[in-house]
Amino acid sequence: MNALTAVKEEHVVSIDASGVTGSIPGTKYVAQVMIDSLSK
Amino acid sequence: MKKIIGLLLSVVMLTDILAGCAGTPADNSGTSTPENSPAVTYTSSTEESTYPRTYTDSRGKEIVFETQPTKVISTDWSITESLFIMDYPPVASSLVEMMSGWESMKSYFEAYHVEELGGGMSTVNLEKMIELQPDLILTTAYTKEDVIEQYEKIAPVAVLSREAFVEREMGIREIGKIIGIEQTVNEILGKEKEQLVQYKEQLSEQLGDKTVMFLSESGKVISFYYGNVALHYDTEKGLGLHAPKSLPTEVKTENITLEGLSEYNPDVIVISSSEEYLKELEKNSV
Repeated sequence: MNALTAVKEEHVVSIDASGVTGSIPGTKYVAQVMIDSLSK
Repeated sequence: MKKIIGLLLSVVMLTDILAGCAGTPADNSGTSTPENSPAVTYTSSTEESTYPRTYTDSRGKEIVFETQPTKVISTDWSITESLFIMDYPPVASSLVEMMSGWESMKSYFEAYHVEELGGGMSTVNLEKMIELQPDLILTTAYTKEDVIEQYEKIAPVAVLSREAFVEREMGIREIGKIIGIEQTVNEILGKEKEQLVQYKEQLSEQLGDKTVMFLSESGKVISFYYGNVALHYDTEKGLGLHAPKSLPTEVKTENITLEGLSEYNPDVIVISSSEEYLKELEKNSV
């Protein structure tokens, strides 16, 4: 079993480093990626 | 299992697609989400840009500006991010190569030319800084004193506090005071918050009470964040995501094992990682 998805198989969302900088643009970017990936 | 791996790869592909779409506001039209691009065009207001003005930085040092600084150098990526939000780009910044690859910053670097100063806060290219003849150097309290002394031989230096690094809105407002656009900053932050509210509502509909945890992989070591991504969890100013109840709330980054991750038991994992590492995880059994 995949080590990461063994922890939680429901959703794993991949982002780049700007998603964890804490900035407003980084936060907006995270939101966009999450919304799009969770919609699938 | 194959379904999950497929999901992972599809998300990576999605990120690549977004990379191609992030160039201009028009490129994002037609999507269901708000745009991630420069939202406000800076217009100088005579009233708010009154000079000379004196700014007291985090060291308690008073800096007198006879005129509005127009050639600003940023030695910290967080400052560069803030200047971009204001549509007041620096003439040069550290870590341009790294930042220009970020999805959240691509549209800004495509819109503005910013000279690369190289490395980190203490290893920027001083010769390039001299060459550019800036009228302001913005840095943070994380920069060593002897390095700041070198900067001060080139141009006036305003040092932003560590709190302003963590509380980005505070940092943006401080920079607004320095470059004389306080009112414009208010308007910009207002628009940014409106967008975040839209995102929060969409995510709330999709996630409900599900918990979310943010991870970062570097050199095959996984770290997790809380305080660094406080805006993601902030219910008033940010996305209002739900953190696992046991997740530490202080501002820190901490290494974590995959077994340790299972103790937090998040419903959704958001990870900054190379595609190679994700593929490697596919082969790694626990």
